[in-house]
Amino acid sequence: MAAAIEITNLTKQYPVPMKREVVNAVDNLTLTVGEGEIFGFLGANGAGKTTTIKILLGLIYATSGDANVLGAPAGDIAVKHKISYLPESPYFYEHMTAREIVTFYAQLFGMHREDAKKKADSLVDFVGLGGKSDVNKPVSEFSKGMRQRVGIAQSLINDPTLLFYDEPTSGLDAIARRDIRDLMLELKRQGKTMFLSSHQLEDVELVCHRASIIHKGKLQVLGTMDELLGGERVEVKLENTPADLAAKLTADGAIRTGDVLTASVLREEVGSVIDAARVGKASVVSVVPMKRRLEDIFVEIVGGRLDKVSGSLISTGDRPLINNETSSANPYKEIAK
Amino acid sequence: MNTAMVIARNTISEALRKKILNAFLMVGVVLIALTFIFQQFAPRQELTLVKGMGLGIISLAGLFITVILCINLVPTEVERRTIYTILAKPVRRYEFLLGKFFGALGTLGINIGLMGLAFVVAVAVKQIGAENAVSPLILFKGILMIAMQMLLLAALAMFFSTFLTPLVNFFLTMVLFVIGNLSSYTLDLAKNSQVAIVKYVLLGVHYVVPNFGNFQYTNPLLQPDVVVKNEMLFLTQNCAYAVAYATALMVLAILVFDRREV
Repeated sequence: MAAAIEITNLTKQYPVPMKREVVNAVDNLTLTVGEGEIFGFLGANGAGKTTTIKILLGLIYATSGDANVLGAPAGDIAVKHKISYLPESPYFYEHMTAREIVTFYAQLFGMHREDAKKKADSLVDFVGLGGKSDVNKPVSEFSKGMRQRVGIAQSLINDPTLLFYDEPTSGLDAIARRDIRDLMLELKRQGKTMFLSSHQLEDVELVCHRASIIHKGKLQVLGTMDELLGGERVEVKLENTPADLAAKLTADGAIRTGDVLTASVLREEVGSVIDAARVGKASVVSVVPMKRRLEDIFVEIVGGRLDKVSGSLISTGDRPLINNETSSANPYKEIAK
Repeated sequence: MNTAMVIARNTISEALRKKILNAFLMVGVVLIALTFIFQQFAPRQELTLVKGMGLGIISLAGLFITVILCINLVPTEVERRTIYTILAKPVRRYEFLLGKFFGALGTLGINIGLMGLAFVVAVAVKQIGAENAVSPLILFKGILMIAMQMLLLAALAMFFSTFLTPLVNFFLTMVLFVIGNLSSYTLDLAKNSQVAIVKYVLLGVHYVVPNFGNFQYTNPLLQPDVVVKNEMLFLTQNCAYAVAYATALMVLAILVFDRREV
């Protein structure tokens, strides 16, 4: 798989006002995103996600290191014909309607006004803003969800190969969030490459092929969703379990509910448990791999806390990583390597 | 350049919706209309007064429109983050900056043009039945000079807007406008100064700060006795000076903005 994004030892430093110090917004970051991949880029507020995206778009410049997008240095104008960007909480010219905004952005791709208008019409309809009540409204009267839809419409003008989405579902209600998640799944189905920065970990779990977590500008974990979420244990449910097997499993923490015994067994022991169950004439009701949630990994690594209502990370404070200097204490670092 | 023009059109449409600009425009038009209240003077004095006030009002309104518009164009885009989605498109930074500048010029052109038109009409109406009436169209020369002065001022404010906050930019641009209008005095002061360092500072100010005083063309329009030797050359030179200086400022602005982080 060819690389759509290649980041090598990327560092971005900002001077601390009134001090002779610098802070590393991005710290020696190295990662690659393949073509056709939906890549989750996770981190708490201030972790360096948006800074990285801005470097990749050429909006700001790296202090050191390399960033290549679609084979060209970040910010290359020719590449910008093939990419798109949806910023977090996008802002638009308030006096314009959704169609006018998308027409304006389409013209920035060199489209003639009439073609741009046609494109805008189709995209505004596509994102659900083509209704009579919305079409003549200025953006100043739009809700956050509607603005986000305008943002998505402008991000699809050039049928991009690579999309940078920064918190696309942040602050949206459940319906708008689901709509945008569905759109991302559709883009995934179309084989687009997406660099998705999000606090909505469920969305990332659902949409992404791979994900990374950065904290204070440093990469903490990188892996496929299976690598990240795949647990070491499997839930096995048995019915009419023979007494000796039931005793063994119960001793390991299995729970009996009526005739059904639910046991959590190590992945490598599943075969022997099922063999023993068959020998004892027990019925195997289900065998389900026990997956971890991205949220668990995120909290474990970043040491933050999640908003119970929205499910998004609201603050990490300055709590240190869990033994961040030792790879043995952080099992996910192994995946990153 | 097509991209710059798209941004320019958008800038004009946004700027014309800004109430503060419309307010200045309205004030300009209303004040020109108010020049008709001076009825107690002799007709010739009255006409001179109308012309003088009209040009002064256009100049003052133009000054505030130019400064307030141009100091905010780039910082506002950064502050409200609209610049992100624009520069993420295939838009070069210089195209963005030129688009904003041309948009500002278009807005100024419309504002000064409308005020100028109202002024010329006012003078034409005032001259009806007057003896030795001069075509009011010659007043457009004065309006052209004001427009050129504002072009130069716009470029100065745009240059500063690439690295200064709007507040600092406002005061700096205004101070340089005043100093630039006193350019002939700074040269005289430099020539007469006995202290070497003061002399060189004043000379530096004289040559570096745009000479806004060059564009004063009120006297020849008000006083028929004042004759400019080669009027066409004077006007052409001033226009060329404004365009050349504004171009130099915009080149500097582009160089600064190209490395700026947004």
